[in-house]
Amino acid sequence: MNAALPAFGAAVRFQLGAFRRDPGTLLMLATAPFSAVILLSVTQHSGRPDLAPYALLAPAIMTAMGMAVMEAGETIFRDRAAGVLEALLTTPASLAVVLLGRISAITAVSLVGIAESWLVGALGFGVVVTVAHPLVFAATLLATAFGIAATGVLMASVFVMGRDVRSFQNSVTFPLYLLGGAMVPVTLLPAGLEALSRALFLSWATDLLRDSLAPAPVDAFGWRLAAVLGLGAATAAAGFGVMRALVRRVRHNGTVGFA
Amino acid sequence: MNAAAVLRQTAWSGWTDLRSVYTPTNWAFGWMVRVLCQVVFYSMLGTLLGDPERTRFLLVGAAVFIAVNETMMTSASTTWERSSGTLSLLAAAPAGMVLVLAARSWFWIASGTVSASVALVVLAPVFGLDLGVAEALTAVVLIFATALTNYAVGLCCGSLSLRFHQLRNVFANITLLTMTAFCGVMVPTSYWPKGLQWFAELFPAAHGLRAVRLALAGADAGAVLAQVGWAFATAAGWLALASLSLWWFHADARRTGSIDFGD
Amino acid sequence: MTITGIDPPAVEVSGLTRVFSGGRGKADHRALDAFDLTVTPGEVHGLLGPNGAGKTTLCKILSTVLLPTSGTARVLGLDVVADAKRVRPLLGIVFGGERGLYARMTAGQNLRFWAALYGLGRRAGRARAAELLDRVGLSARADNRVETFSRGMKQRLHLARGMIGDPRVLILDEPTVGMDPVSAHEFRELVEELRAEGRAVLLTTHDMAEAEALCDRVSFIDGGRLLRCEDPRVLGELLSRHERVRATGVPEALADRIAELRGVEAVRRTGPGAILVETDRDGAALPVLRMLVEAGTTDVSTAPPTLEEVYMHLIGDRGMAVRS
Repeated sequence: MNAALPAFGAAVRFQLGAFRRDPGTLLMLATAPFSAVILLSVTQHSGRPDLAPYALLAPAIMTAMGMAVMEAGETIFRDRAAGVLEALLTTPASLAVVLLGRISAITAVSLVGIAESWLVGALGFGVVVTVAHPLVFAATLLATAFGIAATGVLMASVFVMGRDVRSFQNSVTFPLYLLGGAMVPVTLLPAGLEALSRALFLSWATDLLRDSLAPAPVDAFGWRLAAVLGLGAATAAAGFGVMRALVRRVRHNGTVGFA
Repeated sequence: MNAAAVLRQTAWSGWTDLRSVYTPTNWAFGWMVRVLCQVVFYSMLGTLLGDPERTRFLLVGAAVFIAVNETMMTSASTTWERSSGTLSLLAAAPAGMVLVLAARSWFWIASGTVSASVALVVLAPVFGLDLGVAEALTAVVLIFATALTNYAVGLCCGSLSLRFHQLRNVFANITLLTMTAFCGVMVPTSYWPKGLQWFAELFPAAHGLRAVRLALAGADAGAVLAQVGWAFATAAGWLALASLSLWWFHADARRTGSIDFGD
Repeated sequence: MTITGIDPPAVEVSGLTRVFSGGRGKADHRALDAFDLTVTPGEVHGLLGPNGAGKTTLCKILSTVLLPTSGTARVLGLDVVADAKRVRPLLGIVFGGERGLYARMTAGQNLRFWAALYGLGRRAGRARAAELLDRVGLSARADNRVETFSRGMKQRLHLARGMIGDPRVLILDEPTVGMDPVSAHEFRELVEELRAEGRAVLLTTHDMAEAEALCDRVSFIDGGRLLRCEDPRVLGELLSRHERVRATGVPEALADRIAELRGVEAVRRTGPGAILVETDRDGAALPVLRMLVEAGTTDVSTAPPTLEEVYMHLIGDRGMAVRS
């Protein structure tokens, strides 16, 4: 416990340093404005300014989720490749704390996508989206960030299970965007898919975020926020569960990974 | 130099690369699931707008651009030569590196054509696009032409990725998104200011996609072939640029020493 | 191949200099500094030096991967800058380690790939690949992927790859780095065969025993400069003459007595009671050992001198050795 706080801080600083050392890891932040241009051009071209908030929220969500899968998802894998993982396991700090520190930093940085997206709307299209319910928005955003970080933990643990598993990394993003309702609310999905999407914290989060931008009152805010937090917690639990199994495996066999 | 033998052997090496990227399992349950989700994601914008015509427009654009997306992976696979440590050996070989680097990633053309065609054919009935057998076959041929011509663009990004290795994923992604935004994928090119319209015309994918749209709308063969011609003409320019850029990379590496033994 | 009647040297390097610009705020790095070297056809020439001495820079320039800053380098009379295209087919390149092969291709596919790049057609490429796989003892594994190979097997495949164009000059850059002793031994036998076929071999290494065993001549390089070019027997003599004895638990008085022995060049105190004795005569280590054992010292070992020490003797700089 006593090593937890310094370890968390060190992990955060390490990750911020990694972004500086290898700017290629910030790729998703470079792509966010393009996604905003692409999606906003569709709604504007169709003469539907009412959908502009959708088109600007989606790139931010896609950026944050994308970074959880592509960057956070690589943290343990890269440590193992660099031979650092075993060394990490011999320190008093738990791997969970270190991982949480790094992924928190990644998630925090990924939220820059929100600002990028808003700027594209304002500067590129003259569309300024205002937040009708700032408190609801802020609370939901925090809960969403928690869920996104939890997704990062889960991905990081799962992608070291073997080469076969990791080959799916590039394939996870769009299914998550679609089932998470990043752009189009999941109520418009076929019934079967909608039911499936309700198991993801993201579908609740994106609905709530969109509602927080619109002037109409937000229905059942408490319950919906609880759904975001609860499903986010379940994701985190799954992530840390897989990670604990992984650590046990390392201690037992001396190798990381199930392959 | 026996270019034919070099190309044949390079094709083999590319084939082993393809088999290491895709297993039947991760292709079917990973990559194709992502492809279908991606095309559905964009097509559903039309559903959101409540506009069936727009939905079909988005479906065709998003599906054809899967082929463009996959051929842009050429950028990454060009740098695999560095990760296998063969770059310095290619630099020292009599045949040189340009031909090998230019040909090694051909497999993305094949896999991109397959992915995009499957997406289009499978999702057409879902989003109300009436696609007969003849139309589907025509679309596949035109998707192949789009993939083939866009390969030259991917190659240009690849040569930059070789030189600026840290940014290897950036070039291809930014180029792909630029094309997605301005080449008539989501909105007609006419939506954009004149300057951007001209800019979009520089990309083979803009013409390839337009050819598919024209063919599916029942336009006459001449109009379709004209667009295919433009796709190949612009691709020739990109290919020349790519060759020049690869040649420059080699010359620059000899001067600066950016290729090490083991690279 | 003799056209002029007189064979040009296999490798002829004169005044070769390569400076790497250090980038912002950093000093330039002179990797090669007016380097001279001649390798005759049929010679196995060792290039011995510590890491960072400039060995690989020389190999890269010779193999046309890197341009020199000044000076000339010729391979069989052809300039590596002006005639790079004609130089490439004459050269074979082999470097150590696991890299430089397509891991997911089979051994045969790898060789056939490179055969095409060295100008062989389909049939000739197949025949050459099969012949070389046989020669390096990998015929049985021809259709296995390289990623399943041991390090020694990969290294033998590397040598076969380097031979694919039937080169008259081979550049072997630290080929035995990280190899186990058995593989290294097999590798040396293959190099012997290359010499017997009249090919010139430039072998870089920091392993003195390897250089002594394999080479016809040895060039010593450090800091990008040629220190000396010697018969490897000189190296052998240096190795045996400058044997070192290490011991712990040695009283001061005993250390002083050892320093008086004939052939003892220096006795260094390396810690409390620990000494390192350097000798400069054949057989001088024996009386040192005897004196230590008779005095009841049990922690005693001998070792050949390090590369740095041999260098010091070669260039006659003994100022660094502290006489007791």
